[in-house]
Amino acid sequence: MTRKPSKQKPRAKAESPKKKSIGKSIHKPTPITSLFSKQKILANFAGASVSRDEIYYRLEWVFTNKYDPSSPHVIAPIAQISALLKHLTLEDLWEKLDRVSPQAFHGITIPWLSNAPNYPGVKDVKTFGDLINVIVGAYRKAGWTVS
Amino acid sequence: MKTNLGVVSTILIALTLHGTAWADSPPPNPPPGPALTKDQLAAAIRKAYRRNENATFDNDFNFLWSNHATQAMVDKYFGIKNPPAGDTSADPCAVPPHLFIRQNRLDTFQLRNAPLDVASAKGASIMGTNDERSGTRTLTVNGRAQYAISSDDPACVASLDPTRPHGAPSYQFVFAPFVDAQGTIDTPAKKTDVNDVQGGVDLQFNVLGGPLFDEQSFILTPYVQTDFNGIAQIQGVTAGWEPVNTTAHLGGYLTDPTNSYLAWFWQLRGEFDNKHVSTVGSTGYTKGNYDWLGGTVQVHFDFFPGYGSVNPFYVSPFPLLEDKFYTNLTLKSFWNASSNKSATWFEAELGYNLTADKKSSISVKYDYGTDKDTLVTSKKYLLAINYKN
Repeated sequence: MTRKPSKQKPRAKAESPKKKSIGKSIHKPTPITSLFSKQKILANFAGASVSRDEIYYRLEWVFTNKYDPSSPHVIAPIAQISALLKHLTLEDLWEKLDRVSPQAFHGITIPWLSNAPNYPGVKDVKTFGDLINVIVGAYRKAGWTVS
Repeated sequence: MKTNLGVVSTILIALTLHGTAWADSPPPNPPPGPALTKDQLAAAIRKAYRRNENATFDNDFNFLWSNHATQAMVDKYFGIKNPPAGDTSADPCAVPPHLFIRQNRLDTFQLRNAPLDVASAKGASIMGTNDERSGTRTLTVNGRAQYAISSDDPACVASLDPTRPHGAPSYQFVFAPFVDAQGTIDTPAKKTDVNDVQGGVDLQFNVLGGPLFDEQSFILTPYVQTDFNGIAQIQGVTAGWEPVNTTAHLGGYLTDPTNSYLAWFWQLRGEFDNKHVSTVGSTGYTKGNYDWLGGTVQVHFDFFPGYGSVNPFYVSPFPLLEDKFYTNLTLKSFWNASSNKSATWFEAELGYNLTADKKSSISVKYDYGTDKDTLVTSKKYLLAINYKN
């Protein structure tokens, strides 16, 4: 259970799911069966730009199977990646991200090796913030604008 | 002097009592205050960054300046590695060898490229007792040492292939010799002593990706086995299969900090074991051939898991129970094709973590059934204090 922001107006209210053209599967807690359903790809998100916060929420969905941009983030960027992988390795995490990339990350290629400081790979991830940077770098490398 | 001591004691006691009372009183609640606006929050974070960065910069600068640093020294200090000039032959996907020291085969469950988190594994243990009154000595060993040499990292190879579809399989081969010792030996010897030592090599084929599982390992293991006295003579070969599917919590799971009640995963190993027993020794076997077919299932439950390391604002609904209790269930079931006999062994463990880092715990175990490796039937309760590092 996470702390609810006390009487605080949700900052992301303006980015409520209904106002964004994102596919259904990622709006609610996504059933496992739909995770691999190619019909539910988030293809509606057709623009060539994405916000870092949107990537953050999508990455959290990989861990929690819940997507709600109006709620507070539940995984802090400073969280050590080892605390997020139970009996798993970074390779397992890479495989998972690669597998769900068409559903969650517009099919971008998830890098394993780091190429440059701006394009880190999963292999060098130490914190959840590093992992966000990996996906941001992968989007940029794929030609997307990340705001 | 006595008076002085009395005064000092009184002051110390007063301070102690004062300190105790202070410590027992609830910490003052920070003023809640209004939530910051976006600009205020950005300014607050920048201020925090500046404060830390300035301190870090000053410390680093003072250290390097005092050492008359060159550019090479600065690179070394910050861990900046420049590839050797002209070296283009280095394989970016090469995997360095790794030495595992764990409790048993299940503890090294998969010989994967990135070693398992030590906190998730049980360590090797050696326990010795010397009872001078009865003149008996006991040695209990549960350990496995294994050295893994691997071919190229499949995640690396796959991620560098632009034509590969998402989730398509990639492969790896691992060569891993090992020594494994399990059991108890008494001096003078007891009839109940059961122990074995195995030496062999795991030849492992890993499949990363594919339609059903995130990862699968196929393992062929030729081995020789004896007992702690070196009397038993057993030769054999096992073939194993170990899958991982993070969605089904098979082999492990990704932490979900929105689940405050239960964290769990299960492990599965299918196995075929062909064994030839020449000399029985202390292993519990009888002479002959064994063709065991079966598997092992382990289920791990952590009740009321804490997520303070994942989200600093996380508040458990049951703070007193947070990260305290766990349960492990193990079932090994095998069928001997040579004799048409079965050996099923079950263990249930309920544990209580003594320390916040979960390295120390106390647990109650219940073992029931026949261990196929020793053919000894047991029905016993154990109270154990566990430590791993």
